[in-house]
Amino acid sequence: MASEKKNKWIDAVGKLLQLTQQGSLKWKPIKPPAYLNSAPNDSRVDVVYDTDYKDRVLRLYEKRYKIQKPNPVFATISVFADEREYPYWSSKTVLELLDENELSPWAFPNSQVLDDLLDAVRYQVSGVKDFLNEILAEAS
Amino acid sequence: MWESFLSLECGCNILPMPDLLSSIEKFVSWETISKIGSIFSIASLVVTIWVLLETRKLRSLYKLKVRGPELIKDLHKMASNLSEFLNDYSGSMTQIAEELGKTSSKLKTLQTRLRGIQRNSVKRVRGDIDQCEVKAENEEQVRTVYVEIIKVIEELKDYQKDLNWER
Repeated sequence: MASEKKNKWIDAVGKLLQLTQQGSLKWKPIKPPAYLNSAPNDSRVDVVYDTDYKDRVLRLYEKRYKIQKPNPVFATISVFADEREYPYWSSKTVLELLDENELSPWAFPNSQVLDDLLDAVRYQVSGVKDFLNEILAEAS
Repeated sequence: MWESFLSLECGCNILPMPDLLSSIEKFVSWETISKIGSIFSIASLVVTIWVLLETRKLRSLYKLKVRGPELIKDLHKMASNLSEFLNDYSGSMTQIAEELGKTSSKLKTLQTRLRGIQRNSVKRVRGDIDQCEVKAENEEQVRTVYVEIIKVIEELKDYQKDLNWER
């Protein structure tokens, strides 16, 4: 049941990915709002990408966050435990759905398709495709 | 006389020794032993089959625990490559076909290490990939296959997490 629900989200993000890659959904990079960098020592967002889809705002970004050393009492015993140096930085892709006031963001469940969507958005925003075509046209 | 002696001494009714011996003899007859033996044989056959099945289950579980994370990581990378090529579908059809081929082969390796629902999911996606011909008019189908690959990867990741708690 949980898997079915997750699959629905994957289908939805897959659709956004398709629209992005086909150029029907345009994303624009903006400066991250203050709430995303309220604790810069623990988590950071460099850039967010916004788009309007069916009168709603979708916000996509990569969140980098610090992983602190776990409490030894609750830490899981692992053979790799000693190899890891704490604190270290990790990252995850977040896709949020905002209301009309662009408040109360709701985050989509995490899955690999979000990473692929972020890559597609970066590809679109940077204009790699056109740049590549221009280079190839000049070369020939 | 013996009978009356026992009744008098103990105040209870105890079978006389010859009767006791005969009833024991009757109970532990070769026929009864043979019946008990047969029951135990059948029980041990059931236990052997159960042990065999459990061993097979453990073997595949072990194989998945050891190789699973690496295979899932490879699949993850392949799906990302596929998504990257989908940025320019018409210009990347050859690469997409190659990547789908690699993904199918990786899924086949993974399928041998799985059982039950997960095995069926992997088998189904392999079927989708095999049926999908990468050509201009099939973009929608290729994209559907990509989403199905993502779903199976997520399912396998969840299963892998469950395995870590199981044994």
